[in-house]
Formats: sequence, C-alpha cells, structure tokens
Amino acid sequence: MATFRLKNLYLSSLLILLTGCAIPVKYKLAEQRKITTTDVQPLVSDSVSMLYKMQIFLFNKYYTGLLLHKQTDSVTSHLVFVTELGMKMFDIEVKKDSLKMVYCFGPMNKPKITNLLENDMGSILLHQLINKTGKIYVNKKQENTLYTAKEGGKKYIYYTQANSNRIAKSLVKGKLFTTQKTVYKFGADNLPESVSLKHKGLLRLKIKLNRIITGKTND
Amino acid sequence: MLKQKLYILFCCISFSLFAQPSFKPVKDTVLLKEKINAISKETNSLESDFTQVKTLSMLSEKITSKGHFCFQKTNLLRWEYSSPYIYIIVINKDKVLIKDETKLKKYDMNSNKVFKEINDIMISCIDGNILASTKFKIGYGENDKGYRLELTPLVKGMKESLKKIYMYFDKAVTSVTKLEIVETTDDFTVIDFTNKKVNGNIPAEKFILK
Repeated sequence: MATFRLKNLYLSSLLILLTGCAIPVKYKLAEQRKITTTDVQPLVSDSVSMLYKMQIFLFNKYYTGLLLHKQTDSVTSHLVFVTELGMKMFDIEVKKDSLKMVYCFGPMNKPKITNLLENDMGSILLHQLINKTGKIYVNKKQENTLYTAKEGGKKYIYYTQANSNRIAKSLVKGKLFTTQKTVYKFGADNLPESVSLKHKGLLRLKIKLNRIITGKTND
Repeated sequence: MLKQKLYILFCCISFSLFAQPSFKPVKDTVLLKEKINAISKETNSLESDFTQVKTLSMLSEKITSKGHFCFQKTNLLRWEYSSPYIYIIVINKDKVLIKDETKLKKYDMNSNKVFKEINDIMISCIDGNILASTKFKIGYGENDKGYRLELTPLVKGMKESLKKIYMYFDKAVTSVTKLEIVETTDDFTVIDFTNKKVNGNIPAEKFILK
C-alpha cells in the first residue's frame, strides 16, 4: 500500500513538473524575433504621470502608500513610492534596458530587498519582454498571443487579452516551478487600472497596485 | 556643459526662493519660547482639517492628500486621510492602529522604532514640546505674519533621511499653522492646518479603531 502511494506521488510530481514547464498545447509557435511595443502595449505612458495606490505584503509585514510613475526625459522615467504620511520609501530610475534603485529608505535599504523590488518592478513594466528576443505563440481559438523570453535563468511567459496587444497575465518560471504570477486589468483609457503580483513558494511577497484617477498629480 | 551650468543656475534660483529670506532671526527668543510653552500647557485637544502636499523635487511633481486630524492629551492622535483614498492612522498611547480599506493593523509603538520616532516628532510638534527635545538644533525666525522654528536633526538615524523640519506659528502663537518636512533628497512635505478647533470635545471613539 505504501509503495503504491509513493509511486503515485512520484508520478504526480513528474506530471506537475512536465506540465508546469510546458507551454499550453493550444498555443502554436508562430515565430521567434525581437518583441517590440507594436506587439505588446507598454504599461506606462511617456506623456502622463501615473499614480497608484500600492500595497506590499512581505511575510507578516504590510506597507502601503502611493506609487508615482513619471517620465523625466526621452529615455528615463522614475517609480517613486511614498507612504501616506509623505515619507519617500524608494525611487527607482527606469531606463530602456535597466532599473536602478537610486534611493531607498534606511531600514529597507538592503541588497536583497532592493534587488527584489527592481526585479518585480521590471517584471511589472514588461522589461524582460519588450526589446528582447522572444518566441511568439498564437492561440487561434481564443485569438490571443503568448510571448516567452528568457533572462537570468528564468523563463517569462506573457499572455495577451483576446484580440488585443494588452498583457492580461504573466508567469515567471524557474528551473522547475512557477515562481511569480502577475495579473493586469486595464481601464477605458488603455492604461493599467490594477496590477497584482504574487510570488509563489517560500518568498511570501505580494504587490498590489490600484490606479488613482481622481487624485490626479499636478505640477 | 551648458546644460549642467543651466541646471546649477536653476538649483541656485530654486534654493534662494525656497530659503524664504523674509524670515529674520527672532530678537526675543525667550519670550517666544514662553508663548509656545504656554500653548503647549493650555492645549488639551486640537482638531483640524489638513492638506498635505508632497513635492518630489527632482521630478517636479506634487502629490496632494487631504484629511482631518485630531489630537488629545496625552498621546492620542488620529490622522484620517479622505483623499486620494480613505486611510486612518490612530496612535493611542503605545498602540498604533492603521485602517486601510477594510484591513485593520495593530502595532506596538515600542516594537517599532520608526513609528515611535514619527509619533514623538508629530506630537511634540503639535503640542509644542519639541522645544525641550535634545534631538534637534532649533533656530527661531519671524516675519510680519508669524514665526518659524527651524529644526535640524542632531541624532544618527534621523539625520540620514531628514534634513529639516519647519514649524510655522501665527503671530499670536495660538497653534501650529503649517509643518514643512524636508528630506535629505530635497523632497519636502508641507502640511497646512485649517479650520482649527482648540480644546473642543473630541469623542473617545475617535481614538479607537475596530
């Protein structure tokens, strides 16, 4: 009886491993090339500052505040997280190919945390996909597209909405399992209304962004 | 090179504007301290609306929040943000309660150094006890409209993130009219207090969150 259970466990683990790493069968590989902003709609606007309510759940800690995205020149923008009381927690400089933490509030200023934030913000902004060489898969039934790209030993998988170049969901896969899932919802203005990123496995981190429309930022 | 020069020139102009030279050193600081100590003693409760404007200097961007604030002696504080979304922070003695949407979080003030520091600064700025603090060097300024206290942090841990706190009082020194917090990155937050009610009755429930 015990041997039978063990066999079942091995088989189910193998099945999870195989299906977990594969692209769903309904998606057929169409081509492999550089993914551009024509293929996928960028998540931020060059001309409009965007303000989000940001919630970070990190293990048993909970942080909230406002996340501002603003373009500062043709190739640079910034992501700034400020608490409700007005204290700046971090400022990430975003270039076309990189993200760099230029300020991080003292207690949070640890390499593990800053690297994690840079990676997660990059992932949300589709930095691992746009302008990178990736594979394009098409699902004719649902009329949506799936993009994959590899970076730093990880595989990034992005699903578009049906009949749209807007990203609906993304997954990050490590060597064996899915390590991260992000879900996007868009507003009528074609910009993301909410973004939810969740790490799976041992790292209990969740980031939620909800766009603030009424509380417009101004100069 | 020209761009750099223009940038430096712009910074100098901004700095000179921001420095508000209209404030001159107070001649009689003893009298001003007495007045501030007097309001500190006389103020048992304070209620007001507030507008908080966070200026991100490098981005030339402002983020505005609005809400209502309550203070009751001793050590009871409520910041209720109504815009851009509802968010409430209550400090009740040594407990910090935060209500965000439907989530309620409770913290022990003594277990969180950052909260304790923020609370101490906020409450002592409001009730005037900041004058007794050894954590700041205090400069006194005045113009024809009122007084300005310039607080420069002296302690390690605070100096790294906080450059200055400015406290503004009206000429009659009845209460704090404005707070300005300048960070080391030159970003700053201005909190304007309006519709103030001194020593009014504030229900105890205001300092309890469920």
